[in-house]
Amino acid sequence: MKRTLSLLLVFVMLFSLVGCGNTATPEPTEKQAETVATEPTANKGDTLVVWTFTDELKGIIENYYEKNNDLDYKIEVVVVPNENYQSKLDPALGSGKAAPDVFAVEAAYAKKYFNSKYTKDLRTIGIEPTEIPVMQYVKDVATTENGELKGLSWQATPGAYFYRRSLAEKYLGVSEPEDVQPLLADFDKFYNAALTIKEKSNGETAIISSLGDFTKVFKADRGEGWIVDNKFTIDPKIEELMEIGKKFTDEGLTNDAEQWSETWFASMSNDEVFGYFLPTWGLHYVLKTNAENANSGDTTAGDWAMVQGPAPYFWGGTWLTMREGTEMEQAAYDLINYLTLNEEFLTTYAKESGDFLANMNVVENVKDTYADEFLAGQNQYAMFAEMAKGIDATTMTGSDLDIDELFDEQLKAYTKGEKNKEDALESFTSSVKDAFPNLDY
Amino acid sequence: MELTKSKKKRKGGIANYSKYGQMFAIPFIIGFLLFQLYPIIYTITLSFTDLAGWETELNFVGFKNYIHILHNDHFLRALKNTWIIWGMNFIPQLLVALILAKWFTDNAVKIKGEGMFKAIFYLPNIITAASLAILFNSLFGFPHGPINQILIHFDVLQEPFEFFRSKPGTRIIVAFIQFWRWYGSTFIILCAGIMGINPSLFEAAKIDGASDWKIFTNITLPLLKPITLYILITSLVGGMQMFDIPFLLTGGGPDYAVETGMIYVYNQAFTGNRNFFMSATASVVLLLIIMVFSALIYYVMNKDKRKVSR
Amino acid sequence: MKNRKFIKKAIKYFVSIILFILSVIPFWILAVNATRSTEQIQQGFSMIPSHFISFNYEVLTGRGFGFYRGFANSMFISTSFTLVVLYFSAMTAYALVVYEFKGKKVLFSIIAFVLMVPAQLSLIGFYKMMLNAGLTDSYIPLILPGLASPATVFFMRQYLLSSFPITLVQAARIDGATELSIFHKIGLPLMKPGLATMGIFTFVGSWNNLIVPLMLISTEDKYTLPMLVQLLKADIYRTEYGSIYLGVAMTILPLVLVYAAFSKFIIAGVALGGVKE
Repeated sequence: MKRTLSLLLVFVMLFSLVGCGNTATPEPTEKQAETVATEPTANKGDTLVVWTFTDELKGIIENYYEKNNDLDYKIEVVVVPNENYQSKLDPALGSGKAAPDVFAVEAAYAKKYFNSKYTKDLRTIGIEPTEIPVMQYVKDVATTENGELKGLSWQATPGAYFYRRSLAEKYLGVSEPEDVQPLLADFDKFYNAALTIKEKSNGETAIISSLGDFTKVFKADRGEGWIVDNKFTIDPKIEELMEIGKKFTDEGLTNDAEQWSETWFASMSNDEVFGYFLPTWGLHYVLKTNAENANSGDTTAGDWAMVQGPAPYFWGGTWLTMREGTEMEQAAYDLINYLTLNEEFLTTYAKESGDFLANMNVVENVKDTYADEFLAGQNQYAMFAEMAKGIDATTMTGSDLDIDELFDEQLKAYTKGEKNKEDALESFTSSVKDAFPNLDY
Repeated sequence: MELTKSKKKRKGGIANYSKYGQMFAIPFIIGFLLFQLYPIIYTITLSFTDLAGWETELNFVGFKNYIHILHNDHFLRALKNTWIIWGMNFIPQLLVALILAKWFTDNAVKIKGEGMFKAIFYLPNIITAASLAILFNSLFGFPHGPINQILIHFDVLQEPFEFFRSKPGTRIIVAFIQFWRWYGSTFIILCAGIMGINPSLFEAAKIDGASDWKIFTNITLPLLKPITLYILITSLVGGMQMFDIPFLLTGGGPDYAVETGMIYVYNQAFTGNRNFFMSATASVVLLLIIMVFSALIYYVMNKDKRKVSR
Repeated sequence: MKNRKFIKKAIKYFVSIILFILSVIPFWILAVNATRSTEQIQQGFSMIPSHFISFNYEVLTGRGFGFYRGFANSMFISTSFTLVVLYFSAMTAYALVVYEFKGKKVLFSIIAFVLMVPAQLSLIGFYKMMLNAGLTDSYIPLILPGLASPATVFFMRQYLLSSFPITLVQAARIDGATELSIFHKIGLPLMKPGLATMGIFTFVGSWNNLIVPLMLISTEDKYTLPMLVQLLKADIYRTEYGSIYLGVAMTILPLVLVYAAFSKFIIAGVALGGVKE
């Protein structure tokens, strides 16, 4: 068996060498960039086709962009739900037929498209990364190894830890964010706090609902991503995550729920869970909407507060990118430019939607005007602005979505006692190999 | 056998009718050539290349992928899962459908509302897999899902059971959903088959004093052979291609317990490095398996038929 | 003897009622969830209706859920597809059973082969082909493939094999009828129960088909009902489960009605009216 495996490995390695030659080398567009005129070419069609996976972008285009601009072409926004988005997009990009001019990509797979030859380097049409006031991590995500800028976003999505003030007062003796943060500042402290909460509440309250809640935060704390120079890498932090995850599960420090399950939502309105790790949008669309028990009407609104927690991280986010070879270059440029860099629009949009933005000038201008009653008057905008500075997106890869999923499966198997750590890690590596025969191991 | 021979003789005499057979088949052939041939050839071609990710150029590698896949633990595991789940769902499904079909075509034991019952059994089939998956997910939810609450209430369980972390548990749930979605349609097909049997045969047997059971085993079942063959083969084809329920329910988990061959095919093509070559190879292997077993079923059934007609 | 019959009846009732409950429960849950708010659904399971149906409906239509438009599109596609499938499959099956001709074996092998080809396998190739042929955003690839529906042909062939009286065809020929009119006047009516059965399956399958239209259609005016429901999920931040359930329920309702209409054929057993000797 081992021999066959190693044979397979040799095959895989040979294979990946061949594979590399064809795929992994990015197009050498950098030289071109300096010679080609830095202006978009004029439109050759009469319709700008935009593909996205949420109705959010559709709303922005319809309610702001089209209303405020006098366009001499039509904009057609096609919304394809996330689960089918890539399978519809990829063949269309490949064939160049019925393909969009501008399309949105989500953080979890954005790099896959940025690293492909199907997205345009925005520097070649006059967007200079060093001159725009967009948050560094937002630019980093869209920047390739060769320094090309392949996309931009209007939003930033830093994450925080939201906890219940009353429970903090009861079990930790303090309730104000500046007093709570020091107790949760790293994962050791977080673990100690979890123990205290469990003990003092007689096991009635857990510091997190699901183990899934903090894997994202832990992964953000890694030194290296899953893939380094085309080599599959397991950062030491990953094993640490498995250990601490096991500890949390064994010692009953979570509420044993799955993320996005009924129990997970339900404990936002009762005292079973001390807090949740959620990003900007999570506050508005997950926590606020579920803080009130839908049947009894009991609510925890006003009892929440936010802190950074053990590590800065971000979760989600939508980037806009232009298809290389589009016939509507000017229109595509105008749209991206307006949605991400037009400060007048962004200011209005931030005020009307409360969405947290990536444009630092706008954030500076609006951040002091917020005080969220849900958080007992805390200014979430200013805090997110602080948190965004600490985000490091360099460990992100285009394959994170898939590798994370394969890992989470084994993390569950290990923490729930179905497998020992070695077996779990071995299953993990083997399934990554099966999905990514093109990588080095 | 004798029957078909005599048929041939009969038709052989009127030779010019054969062109109508060809003409009647032309639309099918056109549809096949236009919409099905290309995708099939395309997939088979891919299985001999190393096409993956964003590549577009076909680079032929011979039978390498086939040698690979036969040593691929992940694919073999997926095949095993497929057979297990199919067996768990198909055997009870055919049995229940047969019994129901016998009951509901038997005029001796009529019950009230027969027509309504008949119609209702098929209903689960019209809900999409996606809705069913969400439904069952919350039914078997952990720790506070309704099934858990009921089982604890009646003291069957002491503490909540995490169904979707249990390999046999998840397999049983998937097999049950499959069973429950399809027994109605199998039942309807069998009914249609039984009703297609010339009623005078039953009447004659009854006059001869044959018992219900005798009529069922000696007349109904043998005459149902062609339809049963259809059910066996389509169910095998469908079973080997089982995809949506396990995929939407748990994505193949826990720890790949319900990852079927088709989920493997899907994951290879649409996730990871998007290994189209592996996806194509796996589906061709699946196709071969289906063909071999269908041929086997066909052969066995027809052998039986010869015996019976003698 | 009487006693045995009674027991038989009792068992039949018992099993039927259990299966009845199992079949109806999901519809009940769907209907109940269509009346509950998203938060209620997210926070727990219930079999008791709530009062959010009009709110859910507002969300549904507020998102531009053009129910009637989607309904008309789905109806058009599914009906056309089903008619194409039934007519041409019956024709092919009829040819396979009634005639002897050159290439018959090849044709049957092709049918059996296509039947076995995994559907997922063809998807990528099919999509690529449609992109290259410029047939995206058109209903043609959703309807015309019905010309070659191997499962239906296979079923109709098996059905005819077990019940078709070839003598009727010969008699009609003697009367001087053309082959096509024999097919129309004798073949098709005799196939009715089988066609009704396949008609339901085909219609349901086409109505619920999501992946192919989703890959091919981009203009919202052309969306089918399941696509519109799926579109409700296109909000990354928050999924309106209440309205999704309502959407699903509204999508299923026409199917139930169509099924009820069709199922008369099956239940009444319009079995081979022509052959009762």
